[in-house]
Amino acid sequence: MMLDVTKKSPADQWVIESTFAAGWFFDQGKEQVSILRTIAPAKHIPELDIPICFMNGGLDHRDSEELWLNLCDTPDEVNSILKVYSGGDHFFMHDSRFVHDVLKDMHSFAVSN
Amino acid sequence: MTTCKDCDQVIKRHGLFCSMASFACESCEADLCKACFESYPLVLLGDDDTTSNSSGNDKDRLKKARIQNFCKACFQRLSVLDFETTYDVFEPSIETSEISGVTFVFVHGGGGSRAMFRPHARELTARHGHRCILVDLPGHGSLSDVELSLDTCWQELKNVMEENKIINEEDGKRTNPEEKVVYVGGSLGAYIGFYLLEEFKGIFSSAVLMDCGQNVGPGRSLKATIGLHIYDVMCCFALQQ
Repeated sequence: MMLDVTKKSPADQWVIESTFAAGWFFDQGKEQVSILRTIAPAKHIPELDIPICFMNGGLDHRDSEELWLNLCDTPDEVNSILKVYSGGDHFFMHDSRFVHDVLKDMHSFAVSN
Repeated sequence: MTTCKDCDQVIKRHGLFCSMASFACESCEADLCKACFESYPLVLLGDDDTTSNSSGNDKDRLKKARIQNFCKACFQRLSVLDFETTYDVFEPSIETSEISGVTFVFVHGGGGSRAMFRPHARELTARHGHRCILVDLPGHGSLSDVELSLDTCWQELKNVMEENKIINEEDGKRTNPEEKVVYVGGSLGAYIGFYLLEEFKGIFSSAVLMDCGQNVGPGRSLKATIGLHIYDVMCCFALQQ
């Protein structure tokens, strides 16, 4: 299953070490789906008092990222950001076109917040 | 009569053609039933697969890579994961880099393991002197036999943060308020992150949440509902293979 997914993806950076050489674990796929169906980000975000950096691939499903970003900060403090890596899919963090930007963005966000 | 090494079921062989099919661990050659034979696949890292490779040529290597099937014991021995521990820690080297005072806590996506962000953690530690901790979610990696739920995820993260002195065992508060602790979640790890960040309010300084641009929770779109259903079916199908 993962091999099929990866063949369709442009992800090419560290994918063997990160996934194929470690193994994959879908035994509790039903529990994964159950959790995903339960989590309501729009309820949790207003309770958080920390900045969030959202990172998404431009080709991934993204129907709520702007809404959630807007829920993050108060008018007095705007530190949360949204990074969309144009041309990236769900595996953009393993895509050699973006991985070094991802690392740089993570570092910058961490040290400045 | 042959029994499967992993599940102890008698391996039934039907007819002439089926009896020719052999399902054996590709390392220890123990007999496995068909279901167990396909339960623990791996691509083994070759001699030229340096873990610090940053040239991004995995696509070519993946074309040549062969998925091998192992028994559970050989899978755990040959995987890049150490199944004796449930998390990895990358500490900055005092000799070669400054210690930044930032700790990243990485939580992987569904179906993956703490190896998902291992190369990223290694780079962040080497380049910037950040400490990086990578955890296995329950139901994944070294914790694949532990039930996956929000409660078990909370418990595991709490254990890891206590063991690594991010929080005190006694009062659950930060041990070093000067340290910046950053939650990093990918996909499932990001969605669970919304819950965990609220549960551990006051512990994390900031969060990086990847692959969570779609609402898959209450109020989700029809498209998301279908996507979840397909994922559910694919997981069931993979288990039945």
